[in-house]
Amino acid sequence: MNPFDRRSFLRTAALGLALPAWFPRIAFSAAPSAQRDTLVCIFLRGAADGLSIVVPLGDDGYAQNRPTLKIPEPSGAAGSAIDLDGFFGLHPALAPFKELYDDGLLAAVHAAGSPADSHSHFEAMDFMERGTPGSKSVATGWIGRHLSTLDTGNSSPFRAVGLGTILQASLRGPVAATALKSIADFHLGGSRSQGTQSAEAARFQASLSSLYADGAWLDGQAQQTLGAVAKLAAANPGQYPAQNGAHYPEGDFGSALLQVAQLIKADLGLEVACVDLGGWDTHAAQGAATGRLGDLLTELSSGLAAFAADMADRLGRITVVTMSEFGRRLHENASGGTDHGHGNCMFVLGGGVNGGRVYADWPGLAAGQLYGPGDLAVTTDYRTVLAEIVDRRLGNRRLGDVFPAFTPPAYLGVVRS
Amino acid sequence: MNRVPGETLTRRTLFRTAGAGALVAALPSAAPAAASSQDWPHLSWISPNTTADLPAPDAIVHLVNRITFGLLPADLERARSLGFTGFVEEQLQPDSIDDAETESAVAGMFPTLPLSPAALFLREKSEVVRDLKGAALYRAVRSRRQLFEMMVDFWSNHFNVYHLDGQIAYLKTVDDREVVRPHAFGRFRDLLGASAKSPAMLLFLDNASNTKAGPNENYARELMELHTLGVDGGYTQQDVQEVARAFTGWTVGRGAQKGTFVYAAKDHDDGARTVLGRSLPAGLGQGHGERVLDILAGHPATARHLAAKLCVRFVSDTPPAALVDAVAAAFSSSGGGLSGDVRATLRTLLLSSQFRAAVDQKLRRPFESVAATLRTLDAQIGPEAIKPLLNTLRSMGQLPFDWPAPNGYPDANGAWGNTNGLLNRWNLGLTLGANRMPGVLTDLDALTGGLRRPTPATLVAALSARLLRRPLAAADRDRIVQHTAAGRPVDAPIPVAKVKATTAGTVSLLLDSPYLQWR
Repeated sequence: MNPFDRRSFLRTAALGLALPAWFPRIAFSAAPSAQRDTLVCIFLRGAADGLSIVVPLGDDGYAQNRPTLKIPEPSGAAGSAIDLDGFFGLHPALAPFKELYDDGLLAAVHAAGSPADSHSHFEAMDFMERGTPGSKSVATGWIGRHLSTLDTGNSSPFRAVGLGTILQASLRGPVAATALKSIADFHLGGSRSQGTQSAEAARFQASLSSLYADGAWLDGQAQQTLGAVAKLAAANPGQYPAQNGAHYPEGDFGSALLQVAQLIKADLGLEVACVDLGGWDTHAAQGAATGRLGDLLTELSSGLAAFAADMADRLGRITVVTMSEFGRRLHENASGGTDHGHGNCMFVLGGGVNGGRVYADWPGLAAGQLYGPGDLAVTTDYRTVLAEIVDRRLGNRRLGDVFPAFTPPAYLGVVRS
Repeated sequence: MNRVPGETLTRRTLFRTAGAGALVAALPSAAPAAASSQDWPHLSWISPNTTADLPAPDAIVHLVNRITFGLLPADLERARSLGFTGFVEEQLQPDSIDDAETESAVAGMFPTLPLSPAALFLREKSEVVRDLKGAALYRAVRSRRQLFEMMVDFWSNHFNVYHLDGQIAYLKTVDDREVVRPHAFGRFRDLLGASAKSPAMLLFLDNASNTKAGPNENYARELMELHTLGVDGGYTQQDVQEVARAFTGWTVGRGAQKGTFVYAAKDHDDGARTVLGRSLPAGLGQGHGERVLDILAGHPATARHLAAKLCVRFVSDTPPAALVDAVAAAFSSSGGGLSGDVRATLRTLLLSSQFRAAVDQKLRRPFESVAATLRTLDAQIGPEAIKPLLNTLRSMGQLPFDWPAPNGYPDANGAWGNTNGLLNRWNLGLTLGANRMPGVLTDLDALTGGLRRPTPATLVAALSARLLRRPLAAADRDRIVQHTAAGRPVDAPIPVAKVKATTAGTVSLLLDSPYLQWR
């Protein structure tokens, strides 16, 4: 494998040139409509510490500024970093990612993020999910706009699913999304494993539906709900156990990924699923190789590795992307933690990924290279990564609508068309 | 669907594009006519046009829906007898309302509530957590001091701490008892000061480890962004760092002082500083933090921020600017100097014309929906009901004190009107209508008012009047009557053997209808 020049912006040498977004595509045939990935969007809420996740071991500034939190150089010993490319290493708790990385299924993008300056979690998440950093005048989310500008002829209530109890803001838009916490509980009345409803239950459901039929906002949500309940009952995704020995971790994150897998296997028309993993706001007692951050990374990697194993047969038509509202400050604080930062790393996982690389225009960690009060700078806008995925894996060319007022520079080449 | 330039997206056009895969011709701005989400930058859950479309209830029912958790018959009768202003004034004086029955039940069912930190640490964590969550729900349903409980809920979210975070599982009980409840109707500066010294808050936002040797910014930032000024309140990163240094040394004790506030002078950065343009001299010790709280509590941005949140809580997701201004002014001019008085601020809000006019603007959040359902049934809650009810709230996503971020549960219709939420509400209505939840005691027979030989028509008339307290649209009434009749004539008496099951089904249908989802 050729070594990379970290200082230059990476352009793909693989299939498909990284053309500028404005280049007319009439010379190319339209993406075949049937071959479109399911996108799984994982939001790490609380500002995950990218510098500990994909560790810039080759930059002296890292160890200097993280006296107690630094991940040791790769040595094979437990708790030391896992080498990726001679410059970057992986946090040891992400060991399940190494095989995916070596198999070319997983890539990392570093020094990525939003240009917005905010160190407020809630504002930064808001900007990131709207897809318009710095502006709140657009009330839709970037995924909502993607769905409404791509005519897939798919009117399934499961076209877009937010795992949890509150729909992720990135899903907001004219195309209704389904909030789902538990497939097993997603039925109206009746017992858990019902195949068909009782006549009385069906009658109740019909009457209920008639009370929510006037086209007002809540009526729309109610009809979405009833449609989803019916479709789910017919497809019975709960019948699909995890395959290939995949073992999802305990807890809401593992459960959410297992359910995404079931929804995909049940062929319900799922195009986008949003999953959250929270708890990343490690202002104190972060831990280095082990501890608070290590536990979260174990949950993240074991969950995604299980998903990749479970969905191995279909991974060629799935793209998973992770993001977080911002990174954390280079210099650790006196509570054994880190404060809010800026640049961060993202993961992209799937059969269409040009994996086995860390894509980064590395800005450096010397004092003069940091951003603001001492943060990793952002050299790749997160929308560049998402735009490439939306374009090449989801087949949506309306990128000016999905990310208004944003023109990506050339794509990184992190995914193939 | 092609949009004419300048056409406002109505809810019908939005609904018709849903799921149809239709291309939207231009970038959907989806801004409601009155205000866009730009005007409410901290409320990122705003969705457009999320209002009900139902025949309006009368003014007293609207009032009880708004300043209580739902239509408990006794509270509705009280409001009718006192009138609009009279009921508001009574609810603004909770000490004048006899609540002995509720407090006695709470003391019996939730014995860990009054314990000291040391005593709490000796108990089972799950028991302490369950008691506090259960008491919050029980009081929301049965307390006569309803507006007070609504404000306890409001401030608990405003000063949110995550219940399951280490020692906070125990210390939130103390925070609820000694920070939120004593000051929920008092002076904001007192509430703010109590929160700043609350061990639960000090641990949750890491101020307990904020020291001179290495300041920790977490509390300082959220204190300004969430608790006082608001994200656009004009503070800078420099201010965050200066405020963090002001609160160095404010920590939680260990050993014999475990779980209590301790000011550690040795960890305090006692230098001079400038916060929001105001200079604080060196040597103030704990006074640095106190002065910062004074500055923040008295800042005009705080008045606007709190006024906006209160208007969103009590009026609508996009309240009129004039009302927010009036409430902010009431806040600033009350409380005698340092900052606002909550009671006086609420009075201005609740007696405003905009409050009276904002009928059916707010979708009940899951916690409110569960409480409202139990209240309209006049249900008694026994100990066996606590676990299943809390499980329901967990499924719906609004278990008390379970929001992991410091900003508290979102308060906009768009956050809660989704498929998961609706399905869980409907299932609760089915369970309660059939009287199938352990520990919940509802006199379902009494709901019909002793109606003899009910017909579908008379049964629906009685139940809808009793449970909804508002007129049904004719089409909806007909649908419910048809459902109740189950194919039989609507004016023929229901066969005696079927009355019970029919009543349960109709009760569930009414509880699940749109008519109880709005406040």
